[in-house]
Amino acid sequence: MSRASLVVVGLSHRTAPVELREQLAVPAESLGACVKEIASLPGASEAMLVATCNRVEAYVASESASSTVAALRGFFAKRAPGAAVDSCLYEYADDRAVRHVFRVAASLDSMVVGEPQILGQVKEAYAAAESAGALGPTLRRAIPRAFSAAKRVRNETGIANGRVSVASVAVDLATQIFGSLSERKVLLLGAGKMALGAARALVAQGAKMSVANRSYDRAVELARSWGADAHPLDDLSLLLTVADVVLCSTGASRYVLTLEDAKAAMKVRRGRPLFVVDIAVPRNVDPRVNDLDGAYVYDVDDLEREVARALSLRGGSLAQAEQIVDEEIHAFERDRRASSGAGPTIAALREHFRAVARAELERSLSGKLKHLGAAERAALEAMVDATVNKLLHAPMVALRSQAASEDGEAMAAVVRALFRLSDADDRDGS
Amino acid sequence: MSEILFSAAVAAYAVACVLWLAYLRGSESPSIARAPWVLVAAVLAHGARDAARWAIEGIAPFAGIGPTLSTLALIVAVVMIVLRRAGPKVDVVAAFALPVVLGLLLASRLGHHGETPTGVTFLVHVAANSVGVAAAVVACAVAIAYLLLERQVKAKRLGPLFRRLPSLVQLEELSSRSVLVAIPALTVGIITGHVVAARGGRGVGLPWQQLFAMATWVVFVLLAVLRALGVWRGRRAMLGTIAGGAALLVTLSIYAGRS
Repeated sequence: MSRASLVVVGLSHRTAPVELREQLAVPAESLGACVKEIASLPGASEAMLVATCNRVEAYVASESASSTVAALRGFFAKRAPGAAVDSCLYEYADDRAVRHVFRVAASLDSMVVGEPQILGQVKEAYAAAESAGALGPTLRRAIPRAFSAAKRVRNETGIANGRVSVASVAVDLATQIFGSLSERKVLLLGAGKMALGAARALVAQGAKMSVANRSYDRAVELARSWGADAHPLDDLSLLLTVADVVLCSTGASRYVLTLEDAKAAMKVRRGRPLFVVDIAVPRNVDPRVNDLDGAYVYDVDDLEREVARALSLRGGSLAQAEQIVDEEIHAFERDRRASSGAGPTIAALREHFRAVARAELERSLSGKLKHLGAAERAALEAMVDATVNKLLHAPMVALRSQAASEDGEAMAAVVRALFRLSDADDRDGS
Repeated sequence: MSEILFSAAVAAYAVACVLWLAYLRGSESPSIARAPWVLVAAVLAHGARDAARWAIEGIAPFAGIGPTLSTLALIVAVVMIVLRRAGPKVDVVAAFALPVVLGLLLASRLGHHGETPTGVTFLVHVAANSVGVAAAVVACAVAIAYLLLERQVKAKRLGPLFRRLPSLVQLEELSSRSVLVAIPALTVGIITGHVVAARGGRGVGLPWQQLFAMATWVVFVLLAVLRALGVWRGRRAMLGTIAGGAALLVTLSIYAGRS
């Protein structure tokens, strides 16, 4: 019985620089064509291509792993002519390939361990392969199980807890202070890169933006790109009374938001909370503002400390996540043995017995029993089938019960040898 | 039978409370997801016990101090179940309300039972006070959650509480609404209490009990006014709510101590 191997060839942030990953990037619109091309490589019967900014990997079911791996290496080399692709490629087959895809989907192989995007990206790759008609039994069995493992890892460990970028920590804090950020007012002071990132993340949550800058023209320019209101920095006192979140990132070397400004604003705000994110160095906001009731000031150190804490917590959950992946791989292998070992053997055994019985019945029906009518013939055929089924019941039960165990394949092999069951008898001989 | 149901209710309330507290302390145990169901089981056992006592022994829900405290505990627990409809993550506030529920239920064992209450005024008095106490307990539980969360955000030490409690604004709104429910209910409760006492030719409880009942009412009214004026919001308002809740607890303790 032949069985297709699962093979992975690809590169990731661990093995290839971003310049090379950029060259190998696959736009969404050409993913289907690429998958079809991979599926047509020597030995390949199924294919899936995972292409993200951090990895490009081809997952292939192949009857001839070595020739398929060589062809896949050629495929990648052709897409980045002149680049040293080959040395950046890794390859895994069978059990190691299964482990790899389980770890990738569970975000254990990601640059930021626990990040949620990768699972969606692998699901998209699977859907693209499905649309391209490139999926078969090997990938259909392995990949959905990788999704289940990833779901367990997310639900049962703290691997995805905490935010791991300054912008996402700022959004997290704003959400935990205000609840929904929809219609909340964000005031952007200055135009530092990190502040813009945080502003983008807040706007994505539905917040409304205002921009104030020392240069009014620059404020107008920024506001236009955000669809926001522009204000000169002189309006700060007024703006502070209406904003819910203030993002500070100016190049000023003194406090732009002083304790007196904040005190005056808090008085007008009548207890409404104010969240201030000071991402500037040197700081733009007097840290004593945090002592005022209802005001919460976080500077870049505070935010980065939270990022580091979240990363270390994720690290703590890593062992637990790896254990879940191990359990899931073990269950997958057990099921695969059960289906690929016993299933085809049982089908072949039944087919063999039935063919022998039918042949004998046909001989009798065309000889001594040729006088029988249609009804009698049908009754005899039913009786023969029932006899075959009853005779095979006990061995089939034994095969099924042993299939998931280590001895399952050996038992199936003995049965195949005893009854000379060939590959041609297999119904599901993947 | 009644004893078994009582013990089951106490045990289930305690387990639900411990599960929620463990969750707020950062536990990832899958059994925490069962906390709402444990609370439902506790309420069923508690309700079945009170119903059985009424049906078999003729002890009505508000017939004396013991049954009244038990009924109050049951009402607060039911409110905790209903509260999850107020928004995501709100049900964890039960971690701070269930100790009060347990305290009331255990205290109900000490209180005697009397005649089944009759008369419209007395029933209104009992019903209004029950609503008022339940709303005040919710307001205090939410205020405790607010203060713990606010302290973490202010001190920049974001622990498990940070992720598992509702937002500060949501907690403040919920506490404020609960106080606004408590005020009219306690007002009606106090007025009808005086009417009932005057008709019976006796005082409304002990002087200290009256004093603390009035203190609760005054604190809550003051809180609502200052909040509406924008003078007291956030942390201060929550501290005020807890002060009102403490006065209410003293009132209930004196009430229970009368037995």
